[in-house]
Amino acid sequence: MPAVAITGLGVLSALGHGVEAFWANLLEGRRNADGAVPPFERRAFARSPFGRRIDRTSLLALAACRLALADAGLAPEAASGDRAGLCLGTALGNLGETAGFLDRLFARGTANPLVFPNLVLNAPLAYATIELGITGPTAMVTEQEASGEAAIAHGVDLVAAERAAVCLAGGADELDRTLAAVLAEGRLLTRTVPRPLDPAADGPALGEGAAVAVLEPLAAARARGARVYACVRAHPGFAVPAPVHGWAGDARPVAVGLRPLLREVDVVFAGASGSPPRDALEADALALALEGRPALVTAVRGATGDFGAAGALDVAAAALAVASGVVPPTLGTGPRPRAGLAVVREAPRRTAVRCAVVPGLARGGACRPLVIEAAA
Amino acid sequence: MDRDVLRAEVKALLAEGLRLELAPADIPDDSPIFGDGLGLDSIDALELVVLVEERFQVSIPDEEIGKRAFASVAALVEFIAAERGT
Amino acid sequence: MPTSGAREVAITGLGAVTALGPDVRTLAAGLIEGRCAIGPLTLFSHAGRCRIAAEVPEAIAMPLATIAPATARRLSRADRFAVAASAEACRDAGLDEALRRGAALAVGATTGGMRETEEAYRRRRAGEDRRFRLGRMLGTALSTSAAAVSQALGIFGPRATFSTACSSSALAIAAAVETIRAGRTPLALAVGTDQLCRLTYAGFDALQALDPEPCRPFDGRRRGLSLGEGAAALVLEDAAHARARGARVHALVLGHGTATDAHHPTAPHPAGAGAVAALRAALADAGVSPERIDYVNAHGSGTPQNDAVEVAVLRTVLGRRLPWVPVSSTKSQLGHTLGAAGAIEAVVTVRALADGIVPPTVNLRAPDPAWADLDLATTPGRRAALEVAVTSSYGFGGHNVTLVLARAGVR
Repeated sequence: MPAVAITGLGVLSALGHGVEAFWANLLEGRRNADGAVPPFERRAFARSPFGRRIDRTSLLALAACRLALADAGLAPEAASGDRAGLCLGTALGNLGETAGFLDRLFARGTANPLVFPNLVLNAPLAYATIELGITGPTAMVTEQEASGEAAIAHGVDLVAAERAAVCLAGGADELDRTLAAVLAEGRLLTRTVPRPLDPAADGPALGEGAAVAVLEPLAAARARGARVYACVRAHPGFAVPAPVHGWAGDARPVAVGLRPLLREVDVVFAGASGSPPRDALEADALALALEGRPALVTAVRGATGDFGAAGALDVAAAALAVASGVVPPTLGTGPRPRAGLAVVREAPRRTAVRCAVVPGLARGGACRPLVIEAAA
Repeated sequence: MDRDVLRAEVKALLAEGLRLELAPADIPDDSPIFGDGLGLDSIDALELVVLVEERFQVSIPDEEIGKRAFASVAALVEFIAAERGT
Repeated sequence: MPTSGAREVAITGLGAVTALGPDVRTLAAGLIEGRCAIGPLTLFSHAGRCRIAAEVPEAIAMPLATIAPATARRLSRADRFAVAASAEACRDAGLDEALRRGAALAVGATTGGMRETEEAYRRRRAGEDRRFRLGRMLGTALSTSAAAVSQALGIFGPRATFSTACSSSALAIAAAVETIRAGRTPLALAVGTDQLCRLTYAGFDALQALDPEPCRPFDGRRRGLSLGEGAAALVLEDAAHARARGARVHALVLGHGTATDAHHPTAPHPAGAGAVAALRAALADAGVSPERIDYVNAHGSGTPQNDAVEVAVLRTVLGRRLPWVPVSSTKSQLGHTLGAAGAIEAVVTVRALADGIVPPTVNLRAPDPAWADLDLATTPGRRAALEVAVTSSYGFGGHNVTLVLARAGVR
């Protein structure tokens, strides 16, 4: 199996557009309280005649694809055709237009044929392949909170199996008013700020965004003189006993699954969001699996807010940490994190990062971990 | 209803309902709505039928009548006015 | 690409919940009898032009003892279809708890629990519920069906859910095959599931893609598709592992191919570029030439455009072989089950190979005159020695997946 390199990153989040804004704001400990991606010009990214119809989740995904290609120094033609692949993940997809479609259907009895094609979960994949001319293997993947990790893992597999010579992989989810209302009514969101991995956390803050990585065989990336952020290995993943709709209560099976991946780890990019059941599971599993190894832990969702495909941002942050030797701080976490984990707080930490792990935990018991390593 | 008011309403409906990247006032009266004109396609046509029928309480029962009604903004205004007997 | 020594993938278990019945036995009987399961739409009211669908009778056995009643109440119909089909497939393959535990799980679906979500949303809008019942909304996430199957049956290997519209579960099968070929697990369960809901019903009707009469794939007067629902599950197994434990092999998966149109959000590429590429890639992956194809289980949705493109694709790839190959569409009997279609049609194709009976296209009275040379199998129960078959799924948005299957013992 050839090593798979990350040669480009495209990120949109509450921290801004592009990988530079993401990384700079993450290191400086900035937070954008409303969780929304700052406005951008639709036509900067959507160039086809269908561009005027593209929904927000699809547009976020497409923008991240274009930003990632530019970051990789690839013209769109260089990552198109039948040797190019695309794997995107989303947990909930186009919630905003789905609610609008149902509102009209219930109120007026008519369905909107313009919007309907946007309501299938694979709309981001359809629009991005059209815009970018990707005709190789493609997949839309969904796995609740691990949707970004799952899509990137599938993309790594396509490149490693030589089914695609280059593959864009990542995820997108949008911030939706209806979802925010449901979660707020259920008292499932923080009333102050999210405190990932802090025992006093009272819930996550909602966010939105997209992150996409350009994946190529390491040898091919080196041959074209590309910058390599890091290499990425996809663990096949595993599942553990858990409530169908909730978080596993027993961290031990998660720890057993993660332990082999954490033997060399320098930093864990945790999915912790400030959600008590989620953070308790992840913290306990990491503490058990690390077996006393002094690995650092950081959680990006303190700054970006929480959304289904946010794991793709964790992968981007891990690749940037490997490339730069800097670990971003976790916002909102107090001095006594859960399970005694060595959480990076308050300021970025300079340290060589040879191996980073994104655990990829999701409710319902799925685990899709990824290992991001310095290129050999 | 005054033709100018009706024309403005039709253009606003087109711009908003079909997500045109064009201000209502910039939609020409005489160019074809579908095909080369505004660059709309068959899915836009299906939605426009629903929107026009709902908003103006008229009926566009088949493709033949649709073709005539959607020949241009001006034709659509005339069609609605005739159907409503104004 | 498989090289010598690559693992062969066998199909050792089948399960299905369809409008023809609650299991594979009733599905197979319905295929042989040529029954059309498309009838009046009763699940919800719809004010449009079309009022028919292929519904699964509500009395589908579900609540398994292994799912807590509180959880079982919150499962959507799509979740329940998936669990029932998966349980049947695991029983059929003789998988005990230990074998299930390490198996991989790949699920394909498009709207999953949307019907329950619609109902919760409608009640909230109408003021019937003071607040959202969170439990009802939780089913919105499509991966819930996979979680339900995993937790109900104790399947704790690698898990993934794919959603590429109507090719979703064909893609899930392809992914499960790769998991086995890569040696990650010797066993994988591939599942497709979807239920009828207002969103897809009203949406397809608004696109004028629904035939008011039961769909007539490949008929000269075809006017669109009929929607259906259901689930199917296939146990895929490393053939050496299956032999070692003495499992019965229904059929083999020789290869799969995936390709993308990059053309239009709803319409297929006019020449079927992605569909041709997927079929060719699947044949190359299988190491099988087009001359060896004995049966084509078509996507065959019954829309004027789809069927025309699909015949063009078959002409391009099969060439002079095409007139000698029976082609049929299972959607004529079960409707278009969207995310479940790939898996249901794979089960149908496996039964065709295993039983030596060509599944029919029903409702086909007068084929499109341009296709007079084709063998559009209309007669139910027709016997034929079938060794290699292909089944194709073309998804909204241009996601095409083709599987190449073979009768057990063929190579």
